[in-house]
This record gives sequence, structure tokens and C-alpha cells, in this order.
Amino acid sequence: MSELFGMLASGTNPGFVLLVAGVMAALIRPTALRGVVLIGAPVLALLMVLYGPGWGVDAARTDLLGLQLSLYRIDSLSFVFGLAFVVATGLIGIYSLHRREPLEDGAALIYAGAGLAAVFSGDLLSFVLWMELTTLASTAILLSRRTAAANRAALRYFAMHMISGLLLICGVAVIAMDRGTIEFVQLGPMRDGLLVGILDPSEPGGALFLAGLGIKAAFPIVHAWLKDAYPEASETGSVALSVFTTKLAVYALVRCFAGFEPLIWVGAIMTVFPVFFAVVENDLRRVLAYSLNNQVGFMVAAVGVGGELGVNGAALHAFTHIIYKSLLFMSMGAVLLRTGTTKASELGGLHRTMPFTSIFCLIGAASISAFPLFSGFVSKSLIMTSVEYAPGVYIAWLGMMFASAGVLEHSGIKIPYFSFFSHDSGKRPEEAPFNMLLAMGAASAFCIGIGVAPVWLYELAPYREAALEYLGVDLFSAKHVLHQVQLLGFAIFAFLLLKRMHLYPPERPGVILDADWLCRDLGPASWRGIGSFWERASARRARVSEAVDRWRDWLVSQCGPSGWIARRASVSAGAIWTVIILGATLAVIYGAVR
Amino acid sequence: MTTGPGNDPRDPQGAAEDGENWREEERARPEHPLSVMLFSWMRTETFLRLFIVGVGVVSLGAVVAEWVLSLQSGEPSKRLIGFYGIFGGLAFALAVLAGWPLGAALRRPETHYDPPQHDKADAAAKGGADE
Amino acid sequence: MTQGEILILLALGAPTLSAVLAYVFHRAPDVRDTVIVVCAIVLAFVGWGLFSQTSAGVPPELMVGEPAPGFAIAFRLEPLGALFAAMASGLWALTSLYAIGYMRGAQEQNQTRFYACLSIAMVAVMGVAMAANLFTLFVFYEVLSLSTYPLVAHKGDEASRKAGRIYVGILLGASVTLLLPGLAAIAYFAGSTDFVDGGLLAGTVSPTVASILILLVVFGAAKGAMFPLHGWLPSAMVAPTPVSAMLHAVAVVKTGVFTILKATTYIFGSEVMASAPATDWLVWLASGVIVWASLVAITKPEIKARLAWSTIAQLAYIIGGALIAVERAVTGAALHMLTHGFGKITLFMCAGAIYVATGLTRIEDMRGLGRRMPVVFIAFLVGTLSIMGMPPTGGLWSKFMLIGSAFDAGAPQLAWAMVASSVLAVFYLGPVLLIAMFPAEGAGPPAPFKRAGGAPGLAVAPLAVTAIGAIALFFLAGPAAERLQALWGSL
Repeated sequence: MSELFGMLASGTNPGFVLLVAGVMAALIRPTALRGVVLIGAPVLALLMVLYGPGWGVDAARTDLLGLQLSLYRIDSLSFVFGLAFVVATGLIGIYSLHRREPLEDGAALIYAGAGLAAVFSGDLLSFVLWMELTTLASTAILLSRRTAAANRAALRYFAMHMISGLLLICGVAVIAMDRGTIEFVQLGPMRDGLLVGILDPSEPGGALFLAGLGIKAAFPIVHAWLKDAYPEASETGSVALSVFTTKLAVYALVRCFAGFEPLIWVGAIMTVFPVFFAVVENDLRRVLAYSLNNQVGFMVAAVGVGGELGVNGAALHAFTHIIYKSLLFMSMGAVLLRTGTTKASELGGLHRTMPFTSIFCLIGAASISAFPLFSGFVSKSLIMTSVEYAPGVYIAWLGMMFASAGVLEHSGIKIPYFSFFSHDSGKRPEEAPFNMLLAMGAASAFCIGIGVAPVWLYELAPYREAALEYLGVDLFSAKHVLHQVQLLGFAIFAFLLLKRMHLYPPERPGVILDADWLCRDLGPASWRGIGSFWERASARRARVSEAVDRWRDWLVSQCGPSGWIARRASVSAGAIWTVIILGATLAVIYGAVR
Repeated sequence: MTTGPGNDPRDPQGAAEDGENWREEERARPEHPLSVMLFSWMRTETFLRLFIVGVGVVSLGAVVAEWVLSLQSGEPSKRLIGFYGIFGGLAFALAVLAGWPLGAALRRPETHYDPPQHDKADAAAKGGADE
Repeated sequence: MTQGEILILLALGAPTLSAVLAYVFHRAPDVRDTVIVVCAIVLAFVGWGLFSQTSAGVPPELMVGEPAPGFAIAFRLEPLGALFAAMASGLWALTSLYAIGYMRGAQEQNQTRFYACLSIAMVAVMGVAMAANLFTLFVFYEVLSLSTYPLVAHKGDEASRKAGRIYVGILLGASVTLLLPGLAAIAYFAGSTDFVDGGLLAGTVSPTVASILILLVVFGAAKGAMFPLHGWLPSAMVAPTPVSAMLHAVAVVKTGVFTILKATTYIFGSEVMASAPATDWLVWLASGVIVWASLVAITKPEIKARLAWSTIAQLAYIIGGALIAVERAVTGAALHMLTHGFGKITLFMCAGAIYVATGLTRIEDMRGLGRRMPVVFIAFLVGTLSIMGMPPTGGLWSKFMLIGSAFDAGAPQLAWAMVASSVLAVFYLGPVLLIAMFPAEGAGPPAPFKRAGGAPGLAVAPLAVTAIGAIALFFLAGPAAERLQALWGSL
């Protein structure tokens, strides 16, 4: 039995387990049975990952269109991401047990499966194909909420990701034609024993691929889909959405573009601007979406730095981020379930009846703010150190420092404070259902466990020795911890001071304009302008063609017999006449040629 | 999305017979014992004052500790003592205070992006075809 | 009589017989319809046989005669033609079933004339696919135009007749004034109009002459719907949907692009195409058409109009690939003929099924129908994915090859146009699915069925099969492309 399993595990991409489970889940109506699938599938996938083939080995290959595809290849980089995905899928499964939406559960599992399969692919084309499946599945998650707003958001989301997918496919097509191969192993040099930075963004193929990934990673300007779509899903849907797409993009960025310096700046910008939007945003799940954008920025900057520290930082931060972001979305989801809203202007004082959720939210908030002894500190430090030591990027580092304080503001304080504490909104919702508490508790345990004993996370790092060295020397060094305590302490003090002095802006309902103003306001307005211009032109044209028509009718009526044929003949007669005319023409030409 | 009888996501069909009673019942829910244990005393003014002082002490303490550390190790620190703290505090304040002008400039009513509601059927039909 | 010759004669004979028997059994509709289906199935087998023979390296050929020096009627299969023949014949079998279901369900008049003309159209398509030279192709091309005129004007009302006049006017007008002189000129320069590996005119004509000839062919084959001769396609949508599905997704439009593809590959050849300045202009034109037609599609409220404009854009993909004329591009274009054929025919059949069941043609009226006609709308989803070029449909691979070749050949505008068009497809096809399957709450109930029981089974089964075919092509496109590439000699 275990031999059979071993054989299966060594050659089958674990993503397939989740994909099959997703189809099953969509079809199983009884919740209990579906729950078995939702939890059992990630467990099975986890076992397959742990007992899978050796690292760096191409475990499954196939041929397509003259290209070699590698369907299953683990190495130390993809292992970290894959593990995080599987764990998150398990948490989502537990979190979803209270729902009666087989379609959504199925879509979430398929999404997870495609994501896992993508991470464990060994070539660009399979990666892109799995990414396309994640687009379809995540759109289905959005659509399963069945409100008008969610549907419209789903269409916008789908269009954006279609563009991204097309750019990726174009990139792969060009690379395939240029290099003749799309396998990671064939494409890139090994850097210190790991396949990272294998594409060249100055070449058209690489540039296209980067553009596609940029959209998926929510680079500045093209980031609006993230804050637009994620809050429109259901409480469980948002948790699922927050895990995969962006981290898959980060993984691909590490794999293909590690060490590409402009990414440091892109990442730095990405960490800064969401801070401002998150401060004024009212919907707390949208604040979390901006926060996600901000955290991905840290990862992107680390990718830009590259090298052992940068790659380690990006990968490990992705791991911890998946856990604590899911935790935060889960806590907000619980609030959504119990109160029907996540608007800061309508919430407050919920800790009275939802204490467990409040505590879990606080743990997530502490993690994302990088408090020492929580998971965020462990991974973010790697990133900040790598950027600090990278030459010539001091301003980027300052920006990221600013963003670190900003994170404390919107995710560390705003999220738990305005929902659970702050003034009393009068709402007394029931505590979250047990399955949600269990999922949140497990995530919290991870956050604290990693924070307190980071060694087992660092063992998983892509560049293991470098990571362990960092752990030993830098991470808990007094200087480092003190710096962080200072940062957090003064920032909290500033918060309290501003609150006391009534300088803190109040939460008010409303939509905040962002880059999507271009497509949603400017675009349609221009289109309408063109439309009305066209109408006026057409009116003029119509008058002209009316005159032409009248002249033509007069002409036809004057030409007796042919007019009679055109108006009265049956369709069949018309066909016969046409044949005769054509035959005559052909005969003439035939004669001329002869 | 505002809640109320009829469009509450927990009760979309409005099956709860009497919206008013249900809400009252909820309002009457007593505070969870865990919350009483952990949070009730945090709501007092005294605690808040103590908290502010405590945070101040810890922050300053960290600065002092950093200074002491730099003295002990003998090597000059790369940056000013207390740089992280000052920077953190100012950054936080900037982010929050920027919320006033940004909110005024960028905030629009919640219905800003909603499709035009001529009449229900029209809007619903357009809602799918628009955007 | 070799096996190949028999196959060719059968390919022409089966649909002819079908047309004759349709009139013979005019009074017995059940027998007539059975005969149609049987002949269609026979033709499907014949088409498959032609493809297998060609793949095995024994292309069937048949010489009929040479009425004038340089103008011969002859048939010879080669990979492109074999693929087209197999595709068209296979899809005809499915469409006949669909047509029977549709025509009976909608209780259309003049069904015998309809089936007879459809059969003659198939003769013409097979003739085009199997043609050994441009003259033979031209003859059958004209037969196709003539035999489909009664199909377009089928309903007999003023709108249909007008559409029919536009249809015949543009197609015949363009072919007689542009394609025919082009044909004559080719015969003049090369002594014949045979399709030759590597190009009949390779090395014999100057770039200027080549440009003129290319323009004559591309615009003369107006069935390819290249701007400005595209107007017939949207007008022809007044025809009953089986006509739209079969002819305007598969047979008529594909004949047009097939003509262009054969001409650029076997008459001009890749060197002549690369050296002629007209190629560059036409590639720009094709890129423009791809984007413009997609934009227009978004503005149309009627579903068939949207599909017609979508077809115009997709045909420009194929023409673009034909213009680049290197092996990978032509393979991509041929593959796109196949994948687009399956995808578009599915979409048209869905539109027809909706019409038969509910009488609706406007998309905004179709809200909520997704629940009541699940098979139809799932098939519509598959067709949409195919047009967008998303996995798991074959459309992904053909676009992949075309885009890669476009970048490689120094025509990035074509590639970007394809990317843009795929995104726009989300906006012209997506809302159909959205309104039907995820209507907003409070939008009103879905429209009632006009016909008891919804769409007839015979109308729904074929579209399910073509949808499955579109997905199957995701896996089969690879082998198909490899077969095509392996059989091409020097190009």
C-alpha cells in the first residue's frame, strides 16, 4: 500500500489531488461528506509533497507541440510555496465547513489545485496553463456570491486576468521560438545551486512574461483589480483568493527575475502607496486587500535584491504572509458572517461578544506588523536586511521603513481596532462558528509558533545555510530587536497621541478613487462621447443615403423589366438569373482566353 | 452594503418574522465571559492612561537600551540612536494625517460606480451588460 | 481506379446524391431527412479517409480535364486541404442533425430547397478543399456562392432578399472582378494555376507584380471577409441559424480564408510573400480589422450579430497567419481554422437553440436562461473559451502558434492585435454568459419557452458534441499540428 502510494507520490503533481477533490466537492451536496473532502484532500496532498520525488528531479514529463514539458519538479524554492499553499488549503477547508455552497468549495479547491500544480511545474508553459486555470477558478469563486456587484467585479477581474494570461502566453510563445525550450532547467543558470532568475527581462519574451506577472502581482497602476475584486467575494471566498494568485506571481518572479534590480523600486513603491489608500478606506476587507498589495511589495523588493538573502526573504515572507493574511481575512470573514458588514463606519465594540475572534485578529495584526515573537518579524527582517545591504537603494529602504509603520497603522491597528474595539456600535453578534474558530486558532498557532521558534521555518528556506546563519547571528540580535521595538513603540505612541488629540480621521462610508478610475470613469465617459459624436455623424450620413436611395428607386422604376424582376421575383428565380448572368460572364471570358 | 430587514445576508429572504425583535434580541446578548475577563478592564480611562505611559516608557527604554548597547560594543552605530523610533513615529503620523486631505480628495459616495437605476428591470439588465 | 480517386469521387458524389434525393423525397420529410443524415455521415467518413490517406503520404488525386490550356480541373489532396475536408465533412454531419432539429422545431418553410442547397454547398466545399489548382478552386468557389444564396435569402421576406442581394453582390462581384483576373494573370505568368510546394510563382514575378496579385487574391476571395468586403457577413445573419452555423462559421468563411491560405502557401510561397510590399500593408490591415471588428461586436445587442463580427475578427487572424506564410504561421492558421470552426459553430448553434426555444435574439432578454438551458450555456461557455483562446480548449494552441510566429516574423502589431481581440472577446461574449447564468437578483424572471420543452434534443446534442470537440482539440491540437508540419516539404 505504501509502496503504491510512494509510486504515485513520486510521479504525480500533488495539485491533481486537489483538482480532483475540487470537482468532487462541487458535486457533493451533503456538507459533512464535502467536509471530509475539503480536509482530506489537503492532507493527502501534503503527504504527497512530503514523500514526493527528490528535489531537482524531473518527475513527470510530456511532449506538446514540439516542446518538452516538465509537469512535476520540486526544489527548495517551490517546496516552501507548495507547503504554504497546502497548509492554507487545509485551513480554508476547515473554515468553510459551515457553508452550504458546493460550487464555491469546489472552485476554491480547484483554485488551490491549479496553484499547487503551477508551483510544482518545471517549465513555463505548464506554469502558464495552470495560471489560466486559477483565473477561471477564482472568477468562479467571485461569481458564486451571486450579487450584481460581485458579478460585475468578477467580469472586471476576469478581463484583467485575461490580459495578464495573454501576456504570459505571448511571452512563453516568444521564448519558445527564441530559445527552443521552455524548461527551467534548460533556460537558466543555477545561482548557488538554485534555479532562480532564469529569464532576461530585456528580451521581448522575458519582458512580456514580466508584464503578465506584474498584473498578477498587483504592480502599481495595474493593481486596482486586487482591491476591487477581493472584498466582493463571500467570507470564505476572500480567504481563498488572498492566498494563491499573488503568491504564485511572487514565486514566478523569484524563479524568473530574481536579482532584477528595478524590481526593488517597484516593490518599494508597492509598499508605500497602499498605506495611504488603506488609511482612508472604509471597508475593512478592502483595507486587507490594500495590505496584501503592500506585503507583496515587500516580497517583490526582496526579489529585486536577489541573492541568498533576497530569495530567502521573499519565499519565507510569502509563507508567513499566507498564514497571517488568511488569519486576518478569516477574522473579517467571521465579522461579515455575523454582522453582515465589514465597514469600519458601522462596526466597533465587537470584542464583547466575539472575544476569540478578537484575539485571533490581534495575533494576525501583530504578525503582519512584525512584532518580535510573531511570524511576520521572522520573515520581514530577512527582507529589510537584504534591502539594507543592497547598494544604492537607500531611498527604497526608507520607503519600506515608512511602509512598515504604515502596516502597523492599517493592518496592525485599524483592522482590529475599528472592528472589535473603538466605540461601541451597539452590535452584539454571536461568536463565530466553531469551525471558523478552529481554523483561526490553527493559523494563530502557526503565527506564534513560527515567531517564537523560527528555526523550523528557516530549515525550509530556499538557501538553507544562509538562512540558518542569519537566524543564528542577526535575527534575534539585540540591536535588531530593539530597532523594531522602537519603530513599533513610537508608532503606537503616535496613534494614541493622535487619537487623544482627535486628529485621527474618522471612518466614513464611501468609495475611494484609485487607478481604476481610468477604466471605470474616464474610459466609459470617452466611449459615450465618441458614441454621441458618431450618432450625430450617422444622422448626417443617413440623410445622404436617403437621398441616394430615392434616386436609385427612381432609376429602377424607370428601367422597366429589370425593375420588375428585382421587386417581384421569387428567391429561386433570383438564383436562376444569377447563374445565367454568371454563366454568360464565364463564357465570355472563356472565349477570350481561348 | 447596509443591513436591515430584507437585505441582511444572513437572512436574505427576510424569513425572520419580526426584524425588530430579532435585532433587539441580539442587542440584548450579554458580554462573553472571556471578554469580561480580558477586555472589560481595558475600557476604563485609568487603563488607557497607564497604557499610553507604558508604551512611552517601553519606546524610550528601547532607545536608551540601544544607546547603552552602542556604548558597550564600542562600534559606532550606522544611524542615529533612536532613528527607528523617530522615523516610525513620524511615518505613522504622516500616514494618518494624510488621511484628511486624501479622504476629501478621493472619497466619493458609495453609489458612485453603481449603474444608473432608471427602473429596476432596466438597471438589472444593464447591470450585466455594463462594465 | 485507385482508392484515392474513389474517395474523391465519393466526396463530390455523396452530397450531390443528397441534393437529388432531397427533391425526390420532397413529399416524405422523414425519409428525406434520414437520407440527408446518411449522406452526411458517409461524407464524414470519406473526409476522414481523405485525411488519413494524405497523412499516410499517399495523397489522393484525380485529373478530370483541361478545358483550356493552363486551366485544368483536377483534384489533389495536401495537408491543408485534407484537414479542411475532414473538418468540413465532420461538422456537416453534425449540422445536418442540428438543422433537422432546428427546422422542425421552428417550423420553417421550404425545407427541401434548404437541404438541397446545403448539399450542393457541401459539394462545392469539398471541391474547394480537394482542388489541385486555383482554377478548380475558383469554379467550386463560385458554385458555393450561388448555392448558398437561396440559403441566405431562405425566409423570403424583404429583409432576407435584401441580405441575399448584398451577399451575392459582394461575393460574386469581388470574385469576378478581382479573383478571376488574378487567376488569369497567374496563369499568364506561370503557365498554369497549379498548387506547387514552395510556391508556383517563386522566383518568377517581381515584387510589384506579386503585390498586385496578392491584393487581387486577398480581396477577390471576399468570403474571407477582409475589410472593406466584409459587409455581407453581418447581413447574412438573417438566415436561419443552421445556415449561419455551418456556412458562416465553417464552410463559406473558411473557404475564403482557405483560398487565401492556399494561394499564399502554394501559389506565392514564403519568399514571394516576404518580398512583396503588399504583404506588409495587408498585415497592418488585418491587425486593424482584428481590433476594430472586436470593438464593433461589443456594441451589438443581437447575439448573432456579435458572433458575425467576432467571425470577421477571427478570420483576420487566419489571413494574418497566411500572409506571414512561414511554416509555423501557416500551421497556426490552419489549426485556427479548425479550432475556430469548432468554437464558432458551437456558439451559433447555441444561439439557434435559444431562438427555437424562446424566440429571443437580443442578449439583454436572455437573463436567467442559463438555469433552464444548462447544456446550451455550458456549451456556450466552452465556445467562448475557444474564441478567447483559453485552456482547456484548442483555441489556445492555434493562437499560441500565431502569436509566436507574428513576433518572430517581425509583425508584432499582428500579435498585439490578437491579444487585444482576445481581451475584447471577454466583453462581447462574457456578458451573454453573465446575464444568462448569473442574473442579478431582482432582474425579473427568465423569458418563457415559446416551444414546449425548450429546444429540441436534436438541436442540443450536436452543439454538445462540438463543444466537447473544442475541448478535445486542446489535447489533439498537438498531434494535428505535428502531422501538418511533418508533411510539408520546403515551404
